[in-house]
Amino acid sequence: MAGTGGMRLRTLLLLAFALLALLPLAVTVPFASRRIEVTFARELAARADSAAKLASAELDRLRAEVDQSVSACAADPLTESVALQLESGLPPAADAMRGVAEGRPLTVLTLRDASGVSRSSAFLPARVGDVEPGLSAVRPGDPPVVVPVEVQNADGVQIRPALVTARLVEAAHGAATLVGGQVLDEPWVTRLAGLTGARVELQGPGLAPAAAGTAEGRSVRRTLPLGPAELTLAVGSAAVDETRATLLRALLTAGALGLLLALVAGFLFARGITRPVEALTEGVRSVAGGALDTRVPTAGSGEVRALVDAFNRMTEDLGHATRALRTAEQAAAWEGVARSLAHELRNPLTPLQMSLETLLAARKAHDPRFEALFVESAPAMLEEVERLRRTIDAFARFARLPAAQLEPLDLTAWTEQALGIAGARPGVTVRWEPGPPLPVLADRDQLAQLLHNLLRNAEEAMPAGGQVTVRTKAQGDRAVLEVEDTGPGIPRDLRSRVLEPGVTTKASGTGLGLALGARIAQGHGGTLEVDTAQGGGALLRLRIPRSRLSREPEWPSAPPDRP
Amino acid sequence: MRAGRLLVLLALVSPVAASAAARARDGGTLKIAVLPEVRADRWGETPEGAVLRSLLAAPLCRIEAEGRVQPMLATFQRTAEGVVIVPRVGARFPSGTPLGAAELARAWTRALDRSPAARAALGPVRDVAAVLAQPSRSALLVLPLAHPWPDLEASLCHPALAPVAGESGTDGIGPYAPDGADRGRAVPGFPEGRPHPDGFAVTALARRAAQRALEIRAAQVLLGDGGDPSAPALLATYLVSRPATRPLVALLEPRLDRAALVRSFIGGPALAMPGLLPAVLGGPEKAAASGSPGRGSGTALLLYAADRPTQRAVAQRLQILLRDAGVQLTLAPRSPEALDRDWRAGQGDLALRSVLLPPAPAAALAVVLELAGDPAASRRELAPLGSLADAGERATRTRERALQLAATLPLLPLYVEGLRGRLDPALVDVRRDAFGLWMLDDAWWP
Repeated sequence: MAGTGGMRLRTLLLLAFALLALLPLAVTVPFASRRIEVTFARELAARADSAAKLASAELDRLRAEVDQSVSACAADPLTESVALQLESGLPPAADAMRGVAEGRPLTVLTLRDASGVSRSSAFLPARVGDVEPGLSAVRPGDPPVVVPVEVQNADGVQIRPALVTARLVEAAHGAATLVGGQVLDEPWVTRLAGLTGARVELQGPGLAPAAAGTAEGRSVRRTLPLGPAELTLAVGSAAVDETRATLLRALLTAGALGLLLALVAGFLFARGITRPVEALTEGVRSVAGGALDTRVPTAGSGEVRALVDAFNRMTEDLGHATRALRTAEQAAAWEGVARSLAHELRNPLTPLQMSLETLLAARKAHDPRFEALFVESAPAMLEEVERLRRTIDAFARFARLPAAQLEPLDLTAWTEQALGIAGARPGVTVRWEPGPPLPVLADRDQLAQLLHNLLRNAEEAMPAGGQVTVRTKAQGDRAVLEVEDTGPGIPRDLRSRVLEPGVTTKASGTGLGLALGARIAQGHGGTLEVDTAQGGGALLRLRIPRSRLSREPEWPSAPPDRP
Repeated sequence: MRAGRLLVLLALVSPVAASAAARARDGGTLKIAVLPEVRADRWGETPEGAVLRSLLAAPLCRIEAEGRVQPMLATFQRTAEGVVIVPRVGARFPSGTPLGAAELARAWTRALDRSPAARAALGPVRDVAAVLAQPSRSALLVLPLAHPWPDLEASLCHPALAPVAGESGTDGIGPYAPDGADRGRAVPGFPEGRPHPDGFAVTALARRAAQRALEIRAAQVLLGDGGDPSAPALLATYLVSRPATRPLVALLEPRLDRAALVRSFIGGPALAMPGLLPAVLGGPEKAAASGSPGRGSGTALLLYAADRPTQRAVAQRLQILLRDAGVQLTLAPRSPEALDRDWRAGQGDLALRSVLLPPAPAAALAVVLELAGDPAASRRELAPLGSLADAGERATRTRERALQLAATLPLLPLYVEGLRGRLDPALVDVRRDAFGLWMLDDAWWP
């Protein structure tokens, strides 16, 4: 119980420390998480805005590049040559402009005549002879605009947005216009995705979609209108989510570490407090068990140390007092024994002395009745001598009681068999009330001596006869053997001393029977109690510990060797 | 016995000595610049490729510009059952192996597998596969005819039937023998006599570089650029279709301006070809009126020769035109050999086929019918034509049938091209044959 109490205190202290460590976390983590959420949402939006700005800047750069490149192409001698050929009515080769486009950052370059018909194209010669639908709307001199253009590959023709501008070829005197620019295709979208770090999608009605980059997790989107197309930039929250998760993990890890440290600190603190308390509890239990020399190590500090010191002083004082009391009790006991011994010896000595003095006087007087007196007195004197011898034997037995040789036996079965052998004086009936099997460890010889003494004590208390009731029963962890008589009982003033040597209510008793019984009970770790039966008679109760064997032992049931 | 007498007779009349009598002095190296696409044409299926290939692998005979068949590696002898091919003395492969019936049969077997022109040329031969599988052990190869075919000799002069020993395309018998990569040395024993130059050297250059090389006389011959519009143009290109894809062709035809196609995408010595036969063979010069452009839907696969820039440009133009008509056309480039093989294996819905036509109308029509892929129609059409012994009458009848067949055959004639090439003005004695090909073995320069 003391250990459980110590453990409970320790557990409570640990829980208190854990609570103290968790409480800040419980308050901090949701708040920090919310703050992180808001911060990163702003960061995400800022990244999306930044991506949109980068895309706009890239488009501006592309416009400038297209403008410059197309202007340069319009002034290229080869362009002029092709345009003059066109002006003169000679159709140029469909791909004659390919040479002009070489080395220039253009993916659209078409020379169209005054009627808007494509006459030579660097990238779509297959359209030569036709009006290219998207390019026909581009007017010379206009800033670069996004229009849908045809892009040809092996699988077919796709419509894609292109940033284009147009220039009149001066040498052709208005007969030729050069339209050029860059197709906003997958490579461009991929480059833009790499530049902005966003997922880029370029799409529009009837246009082949292009997309590149990734935006994992929740995404924030920004859209830029590009003529017939829409450029969408999506910034994913994956990286932000990962950073946020990392922060939260760090926070939780720190919290868990704090909790662990708190638990360790709490454990050490609790142990510092509970260890002296546990030692005190154990010490109290030892003192209660009779170990008055118990000392608790002086650990701890402050009030706990003072408590331990007080406890140790108390047990020390208690030990001194107990030893003094024991010495006094032993002295008193020996006094009683001596008194009883003197009384027992004095009783036969007096008639013996008187008989011897009578015989001596008759001898001296040469009294003729000497012979008759001698014959009459000698047997009486021998009887008194025998009485002295018995008294001395009884004291010798009390003094020489050996240590109990404990062995397992069933107290109920053993008592039943012992009663069968013991028998009873005429006029006295023995009533047996068996209880449950009571496994005990006992010295069967001493136990037989005890039962014999109790039975004789009961019989002697009922000179006119009566009933002796013997019963066994269990009381908690104790096995109980009760012997109850219907005699007058033990007077109240003697009840506390009747177990002392030499104390008896009978005129002829030595007063050692119950004292011997008490010593036997003590040798078995038990007690012999004196009580009053319900009918007023004496009730003597033996309590000895029950055996803690888990299985039913093979308790010997042999009868006692001696009465 | 009869073949042996013929061999002796032909040996006696060999013209070797006579042809070499009036030549200028030998010497020098003929420097030839070619564009990459010419270099890629190792089987000589284009005029430029045929000219280059003929230096190392000459055809059996040459058709002079006026139409006369001039034997080169073999002479032909008509018999009651067909034609006997007699190899000429000195017709030896660079390995020293003389040209015999077995070598010729092996070469033609490979040619039949590769070239529609070869299949058309040997089409009139009865059971040609068996003839080529078991040639006679003598030098003579007898070709029995399934029906009269006066144009057989002209057909056999086609470059596609030049005898070659292996799979290289140039391991044949020519005025030059290989002398390392891109070089050749004159063969003194060539049946037509040793060529004037000691050798030739070929350099592959980009167009502008090749033009510049000719200007500065670093090259004497340029193959792949320029050309003489007045020269015979016989490389005919057709859009061949499967029966199921004829509606696509019908959608395409009203949108097709052949003249504009030639003007913008072909260039050089090329002409629109509205009929099955080119104008040089008497084909029509203007297309018949077609219906108004309609619209369709669906998808189709077009095979074309990847190594020919003109075919690629035309394929892309057709893709655009069909897209305007609502049809998605996927382009599938093939090597010339793979194109013929895959098309005959059933791949593709449409194919651009270019073939060098023989300079004889009936023989050319045979090639067209071969491209159409209907052997029964070939036999049905060619036998009556072959029975006309008079060449003029046969040509007239052929043109009439070509006009009538144009609407029924699954092919759409597009254009015809001539030899693309330029010569150093200092180069002397370069003539053209009836194919419009240059004969460079007589060339020399002061």
